[in-house]
Amino acid sequence: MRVRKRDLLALLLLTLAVAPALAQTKVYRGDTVTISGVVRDELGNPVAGATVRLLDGATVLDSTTTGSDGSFTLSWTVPSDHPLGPKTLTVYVPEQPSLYVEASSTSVSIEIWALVVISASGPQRIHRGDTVTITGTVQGMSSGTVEVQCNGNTIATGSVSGSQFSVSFTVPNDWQKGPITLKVTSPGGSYVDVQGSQVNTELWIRPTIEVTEVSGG
Amino acid sequence: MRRGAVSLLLAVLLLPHSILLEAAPTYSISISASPSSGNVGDSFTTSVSISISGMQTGTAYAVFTTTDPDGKERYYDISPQWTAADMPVSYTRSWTITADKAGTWISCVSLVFDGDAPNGGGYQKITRCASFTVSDSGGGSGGGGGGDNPPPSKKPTKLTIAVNPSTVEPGKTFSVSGGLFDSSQSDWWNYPIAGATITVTFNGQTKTATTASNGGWSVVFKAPSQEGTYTVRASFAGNPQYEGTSASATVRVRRPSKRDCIIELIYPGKVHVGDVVNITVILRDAETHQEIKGKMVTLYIEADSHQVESGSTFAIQAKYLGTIDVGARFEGDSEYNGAYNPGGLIEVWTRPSIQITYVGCGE
Repeated sequence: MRVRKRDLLALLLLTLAVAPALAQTKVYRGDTVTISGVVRDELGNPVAGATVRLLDGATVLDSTTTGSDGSFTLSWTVPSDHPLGPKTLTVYVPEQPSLYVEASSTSVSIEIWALVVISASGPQRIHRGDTVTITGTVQGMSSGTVEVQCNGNTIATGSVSGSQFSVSFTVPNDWQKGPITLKVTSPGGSYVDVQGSQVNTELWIRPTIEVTEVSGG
Repeated sequence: MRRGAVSLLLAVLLLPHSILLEAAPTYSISISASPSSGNVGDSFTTSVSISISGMQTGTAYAVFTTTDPDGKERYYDISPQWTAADMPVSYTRSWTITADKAGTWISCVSLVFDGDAPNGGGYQKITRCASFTVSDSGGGSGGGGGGDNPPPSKKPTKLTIAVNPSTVEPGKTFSVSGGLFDSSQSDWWNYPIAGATITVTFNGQTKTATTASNGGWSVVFKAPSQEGTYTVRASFAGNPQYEGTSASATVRVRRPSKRDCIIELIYPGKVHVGDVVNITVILRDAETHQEIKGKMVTLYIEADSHQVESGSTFAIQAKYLGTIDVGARFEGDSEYNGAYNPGGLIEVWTRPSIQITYVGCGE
């Protein structure tokens, strides 16, 4: 899970490098967004020691002071229940008469996303005709539906309740024996990334032994 | 009242002959004494003729006098008063005196204009004199063994002196003028001595002047560069008839007093980084507030100083946040005292730009 997030970050940085005009940054609930920048005067000289605030409307999310090179870093941890979707934060330098600095601001657009992480488990061995139950938990989503897919076909759906789910289906008779990968996912929604889960199982055959002849010798 | 007339005469003598608003009256005076010399006991006749024309207002009259060698007045008479209605006037008068003293006798006529004077003013007194010499009858005029005649007594003189202007700037000229008078006469009237040489000394220079018919004399000097109070001395060496005399006056040589000035500094109280800041320096007369152009003023900007002409604008760029300290000084010159304006601070603000370099997730 961790690794995936970092990959995402790398992709994001690459995007930023290619398109310096800031693309909207995707931030998951519960993550900490970091905003760095430099405060400069009209001639490009760094402004040191200036207070910089990160605002959500009138709410101060973070506050810091610029370094000697004018740089600053602000951060904010997105609450887990924060509404999803685009959001504009304001980086604000208030008027500071002692520094001869007037008020200034710039906006930073981000998108709040939810990351739904499904972890599912099921039986290690199934048989044709069995009623198989896949259970698991969903992080980042308290309600909704989960789907169990096999080879791209949805074979069962179930609902999430209290971050838990349980989906049952009957193993069709046409499934071949051998390893079977069941994907558990969710249709998600706007600003929702779903990290599905896999259940690896094996279809075994319980052979029937048909006795055709019993003869005495 | 008599003294007043004397000083009034002096004032008239020193007046510039300038203001001729309308046609002034004209006059002529002739006076002669006959015979011009003789012995004690002889009769001497003084003849005067006066003509006046063109007097428009006021009055005119003449005073006739004869004084003996001791300065005593022996004859005094006054003419009728003439007015505009009498113009033109032609008047003659003669009188005879029997000389009872040896020496120089003087007969004078003073023509007094009161109201409309030939000099353009309201009052003028013109005096003309003639003299006759009387010898002791006992002393042989042959000049032989003629006993011990006492040396002819010289008449006292009075020299007046005035410096105009009395305070003068270095290098400028000023005039020294005055009058030479016979002071043996009555205490109210000084008879002018014409044709006398007046020697005037000032600061090592000597100039001479010859007195005019009214006794007046005048010379012009140039003031030295060195400031100070100098004495001007005029002297009349005397002649067989008159005693010498001298008079002095002082002249002050002074540079014109310098005026105070103020420096006006015009600058914005607040600018932004990168702005061009105009600082205007204006020198003003402290009293009249008149702008003084063309003087160099030192403009201080932070640790730098710049020579700028008063009235000009000096432009700098505000490069850094904070303040710019501005002041100005004028060193002063021959006209104006120095001045200083401590000035003040120009605040350099910024409307900062916030450059976002990174937005993302990270701790």
